[in-house]
Amino acid sequence: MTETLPTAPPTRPRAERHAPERRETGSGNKLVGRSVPRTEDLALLTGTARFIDDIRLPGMLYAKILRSTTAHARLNGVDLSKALQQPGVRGAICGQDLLGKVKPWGDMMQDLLVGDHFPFATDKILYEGQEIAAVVADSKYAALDALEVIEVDYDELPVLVDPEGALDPESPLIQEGINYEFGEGNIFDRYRVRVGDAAAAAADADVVVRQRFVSNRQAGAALDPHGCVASYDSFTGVLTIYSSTQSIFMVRDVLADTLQIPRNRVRVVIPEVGAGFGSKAQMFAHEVIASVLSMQLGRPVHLVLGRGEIFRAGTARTGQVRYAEMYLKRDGEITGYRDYIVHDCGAQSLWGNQVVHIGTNVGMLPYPIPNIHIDADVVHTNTAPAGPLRGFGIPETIWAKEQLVDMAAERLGMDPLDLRARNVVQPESFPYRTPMGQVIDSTSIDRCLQTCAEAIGWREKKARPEPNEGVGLAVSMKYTSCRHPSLDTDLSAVRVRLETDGTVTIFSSDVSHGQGHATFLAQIVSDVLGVGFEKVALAPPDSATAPFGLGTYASRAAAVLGTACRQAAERLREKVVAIAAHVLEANPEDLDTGNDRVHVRGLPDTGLYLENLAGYAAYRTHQLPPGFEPTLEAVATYDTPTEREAPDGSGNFSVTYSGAAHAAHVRVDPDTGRITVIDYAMAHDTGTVINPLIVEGQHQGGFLMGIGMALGEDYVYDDQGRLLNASFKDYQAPYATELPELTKMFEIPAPSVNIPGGQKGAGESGTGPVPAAIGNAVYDATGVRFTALPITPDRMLLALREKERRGLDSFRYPDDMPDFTSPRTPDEWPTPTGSDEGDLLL
Amino acid sequence: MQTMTLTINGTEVTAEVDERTLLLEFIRDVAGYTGTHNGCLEARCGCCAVEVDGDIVKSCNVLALQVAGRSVTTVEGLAPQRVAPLEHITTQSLAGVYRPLDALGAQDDDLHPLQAAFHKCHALQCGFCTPGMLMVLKDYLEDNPEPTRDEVRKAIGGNICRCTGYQHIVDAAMEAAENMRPVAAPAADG
Amino acid sequence: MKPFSFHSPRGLGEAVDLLERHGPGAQVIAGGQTLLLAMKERLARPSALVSLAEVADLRGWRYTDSGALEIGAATTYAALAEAELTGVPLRGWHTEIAAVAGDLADRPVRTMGTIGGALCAADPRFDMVTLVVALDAELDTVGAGGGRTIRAAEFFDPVGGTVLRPGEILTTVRFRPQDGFSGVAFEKFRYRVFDAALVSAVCALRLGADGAVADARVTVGAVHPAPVLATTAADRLVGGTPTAVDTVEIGLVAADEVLPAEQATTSVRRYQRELIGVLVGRAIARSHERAHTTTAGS
Ligand SMILES: Cc1cc2nc3c(=O)[nH]c(=O)nc-3n(C[C@H](O)[C@H](O)[C@H](O)COP(=O)(O)OP(=O)(O)OC[C@H]3O[C@@H](n4cnc5c(N)ncnc54)[C@H](O)[C@@H]3O)c2cc1C
Ligand code: FES
Ligand code: FES
Repeated sequence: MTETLPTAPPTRPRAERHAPERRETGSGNKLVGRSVPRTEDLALLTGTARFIDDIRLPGMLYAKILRSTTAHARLNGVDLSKALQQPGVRGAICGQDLLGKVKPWGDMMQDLLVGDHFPFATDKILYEGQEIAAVVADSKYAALDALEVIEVDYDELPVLVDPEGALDPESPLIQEGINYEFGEGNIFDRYRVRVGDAAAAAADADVVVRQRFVSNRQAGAALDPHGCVASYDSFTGVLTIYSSTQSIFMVRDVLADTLQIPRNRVRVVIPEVGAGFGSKAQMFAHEVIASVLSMQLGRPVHLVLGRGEIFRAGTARTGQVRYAEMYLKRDGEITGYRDYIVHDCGAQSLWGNQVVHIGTNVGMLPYPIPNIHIDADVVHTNTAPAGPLRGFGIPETIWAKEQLVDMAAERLGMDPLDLRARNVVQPESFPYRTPMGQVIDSTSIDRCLQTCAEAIGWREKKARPEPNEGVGLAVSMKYTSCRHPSLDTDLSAVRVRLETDGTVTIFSSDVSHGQGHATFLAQIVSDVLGVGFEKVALAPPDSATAPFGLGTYASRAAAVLGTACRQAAERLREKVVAIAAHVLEANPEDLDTGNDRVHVRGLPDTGLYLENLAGYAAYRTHQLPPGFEPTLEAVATYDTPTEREAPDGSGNFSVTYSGAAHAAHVRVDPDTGRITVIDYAMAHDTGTVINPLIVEGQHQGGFLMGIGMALGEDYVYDDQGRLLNASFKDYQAPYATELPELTKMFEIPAPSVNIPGGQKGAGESGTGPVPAAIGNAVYDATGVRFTALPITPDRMLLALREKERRGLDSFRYPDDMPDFTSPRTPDEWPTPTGSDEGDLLL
Repeated sequence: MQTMTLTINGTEVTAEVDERTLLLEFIRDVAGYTGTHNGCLEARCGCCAVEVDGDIVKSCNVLALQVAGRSVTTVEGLAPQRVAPLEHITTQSLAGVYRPLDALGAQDDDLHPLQAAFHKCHALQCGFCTPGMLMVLKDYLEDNPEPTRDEVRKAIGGNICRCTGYQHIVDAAMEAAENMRPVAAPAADG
Repeated sequence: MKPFSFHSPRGLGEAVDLLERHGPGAQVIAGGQTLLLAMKERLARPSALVSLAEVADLRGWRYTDSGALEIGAATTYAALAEAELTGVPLRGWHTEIAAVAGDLADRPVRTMGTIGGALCAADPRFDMVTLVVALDAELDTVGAGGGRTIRAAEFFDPVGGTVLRPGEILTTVRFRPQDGFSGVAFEKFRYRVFDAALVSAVCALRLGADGAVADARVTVGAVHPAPVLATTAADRLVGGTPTAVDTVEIGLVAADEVLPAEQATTSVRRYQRELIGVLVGRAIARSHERAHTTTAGS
């Protein structure tokens, strides 16, 4: 028997909000829509959950990576001989050892002819933190000791940190010998949107607002470090890799390709994953390194990265410089948008160029802007690799566009709320296709906007402003799934099995790393199959058993994975009903499921238990209907009805779109520049919500990433490309004290029509509007328009002082600071490097 | 190498360790309690927080030898470890009835009030920060049974969570505080 | 971390001997909160560690017969912060020491971190470093060659670090008796709640019989490698009771003294210069408030 803790008090009633009422029998009583507490919690709460660093295999060795301390250099040689003689060392490798043996990767996602990623630098170092060599030893300490005696011979090269510097053909060439679409150079991709006639819209506009905006690099900084344990069986040739990743099959396919071994000889097993936010949505060098070492030694190799390594060599949000303009009519109608984006992908990037495509396309929402003209130069710099991060380019676009809206409102003398209300998409009928190509199957964005504004007391605050306080709004719509321009798929798959005791196992390769898959999938299966929630379990993700799927990113879990799961469960239901109909000699139409049984409609306490039906299908197959294929498994794959990007940049990439409207109320301390968000309201349209508490948590977590991006998080480089804040000490990840109370949370569901259950993605909608809402509020409070992120106290105070000194009413930071060297006014703005001729390959 | 002993969750563990062994490493690698996590190794994230003789420390920033002979409580020591009660193995007994903690094979009382509150309030997503949060809050709430929300925020001011936005964690702490306060004894002898 | 040997002496004499015996590679470890960070980064590579954890004499505090407050160097922040709950309550402006100890780092770090460790680490952003200079504390040390007492302002080398000799141990931090000051206020600015200070400022005042300021010390930390006394600003305080306008102005005087405009060339420096003015002003105002409530109350 278990003991009662001495401190444990008598049980108290649960708070209303969290109370999942007892579920009455009968199929009318659905779990979808209820805040069912999560089944994954117990292991996590008691410490029994196993994350990557907790994996222990017999004979396991420990590997550590030597990383470059310089950002750009010619690598002449790496001498491992001393390291190999260190006590406890079992092996050491560097780039030269692998040349010609492992294949570079990166071509699949980027549409390159050859990959630009390799496990180690071979002849060139491209960024600080790049892999140079690795040692594997009996202990972590022995491996670290050995790294210290590796000799690296290199000659430093000029360093490129500023993305706009990459536009200069004379800038130091970073990736050499890679055949990009436009030849060699630091501009490795271009992107273009030509929708409507933006030039005509500009000519016809009553108001044109223009501004240069800069957005910051931000780390995912998932607390659970990136890492893996690779275990190669030299007799069977099977490589098993445990990895902290968001995508099993991305890792399996790219790893197998890189190592040139058959894909069914690579097994990817996922332990608990302590979050990713996009930063674990690809295969990394360490996964190749551990695999190669394990293959060499025939022993399991543990390779988990340290925090500094993750900051430097994990992926960070892409950086952007935007030269953005918006065209409006006097009545507030937004008629056009034009932008030139310099998109910084760091020294190498798998997903980086996709970010600008998708983030810009979807970032135009929630306004159906008829005329759009966008160019982007996608560049390399000697900085950390860029990748997806919560929002996938949308927060960056919203940061620029939603501030332009406020600037336009000021020029028009309109309330920013009214200007937005005038423009947000609110078609008379659905589905509605925007000029940019998005198909809106439902939305409540207009009501979201009004709701959040009201919650924060928008009108009163505007009418009676307090000194040093201000309010700001921003709206966005986030994709729920995504068909990437260079990855023409948007699928998830689920297999469900009714076990012989009436329990159900769900198999999926979309890794849960905080989203609560085990809970919300069980809610769906429980409802469809009428099986008790507690009987449904999610199998641990394993490429050997799970159906093929893309992974957990792009807010796709609820909608895409959830739909696959619903369809699989429905197929399974048909099968059990067929068996029951046969046994009961009833008409299948007269049967229903619920209460763990298949019963005659209206008589929930009769019928056959699922347990018995499963038993027939497995152990008493003569009871089955003639021709029924025994065992009870069903698999379903759902690929969304989305479109590829058209040559003009338009297209419907997402199956549905989640709305988000945020209102911020900030206070700025005029003495120290400290910015405090004192109140914040969020209204979201997540369609039919499967589990309200989980969705609320996703929005609050999304907000955390947004406020981090707005007020502190950034990659700070010196001019030699050294990252100055590669630790949680210096990197400004928000603590609990930096966040406001997030109680003003509103869900205004407009159920998706495309998704059978009506649900939409929740994972990223909380992030998109945050930087812009706070930026707009800061302007309202101080008259300082921040055009660069993050808005830190030091920048704020210096801006206030400079504004005071110059006696200005409104002021732009950093554009109006005396030491600002980039273009200040539109006549100085640069032009895109590409010509308008010819098609861009997508 | 040096031989040392720690009492971890009530069990004595003696081992010969490299002097460099951090308390975190002793707990995880020597004693095998992997619920205490390494999120940074630089004393900033709080994932590694444990109690030593009832005081909270970040175990990644303490040498095991510094606390030799003392008594350590980790997240595994918060609630007695359980095996699922037998009734969960037969399924028909639960047919149609949904009780969330039953689904997990647990009773309310099996969990520390903080664990129960975290579960109820959805105060964990990926759960990586959770053991540290629980330990820091346990230590804090035992000292300050009636905190304000702002005080709770400050108490976890050395713990990072990248998932939750902290709101539900503060909710859970407030709820647990209430459940951790000794229930006022009925005025029996009045 | 590089390999090292680990020693837990029971007494101060033994600790001094161990340090001497293990030579220049030997180092004291108190709470280890700073030292271990450096060792994990392989920036510090001691060959032997001598722990103060078991040296009971170095923990806790007491009032001497003359009323001075003596705090053992290995006293933790947690102990100081909870001073009101333990045996010897702190009085008057001495409570500001406990308040500072309770509002730095986070709870777990405060469990281990010691006042002496912070002083010997001599990081200018550490609050205790600024505070001991501001309050003109005396620091007692002991080494193989015997003991000495060093005034806080002389303990820190202006270019960084301390004047401690190899093998020397800081044992005691001694603060003036109550009548040494009438009001003390510590102010700091940090980005996140427990980040190290970007600027810290302390104003310590003594009122004369007439209620006017007789003595004042204004100290600014975190800006230079060691805390800096702003003597011109302090002099401006003597002889009067500053108005709100004065505090702002004296803050600016301190800023000019500590970080003149011509030295504030980077944006961080310019920001620090602004903060010096603000924080010194706030410290002055608050120390006055305290001085007057204390005198009114006594
Ligand atoms: C996460 C974190 C947050 C922090 N935040 C703050 C903050 O907000 N404000 C702040 O002021 N500080 C802060 N600190 C720093 C903190 O003040 C110091 O780390 C700590 O107090 C140092 O004390 P210690 O006993 O741990 O020293 P140790 O790390 O043990 O020692 C530090 C150095 O001093 C030497 N030493 C220690 N004691 C003695 C002695 N008695 N005699 C001679 N030499 C000695 C050691 O050899 C070593 O070189 C923070 C630290 C951390 C890890
Ligand atoms: S691992 Fe100890 S604080 Fe992060
Ligand atoms: S729940 Fe993931 S870090 Fe807190």
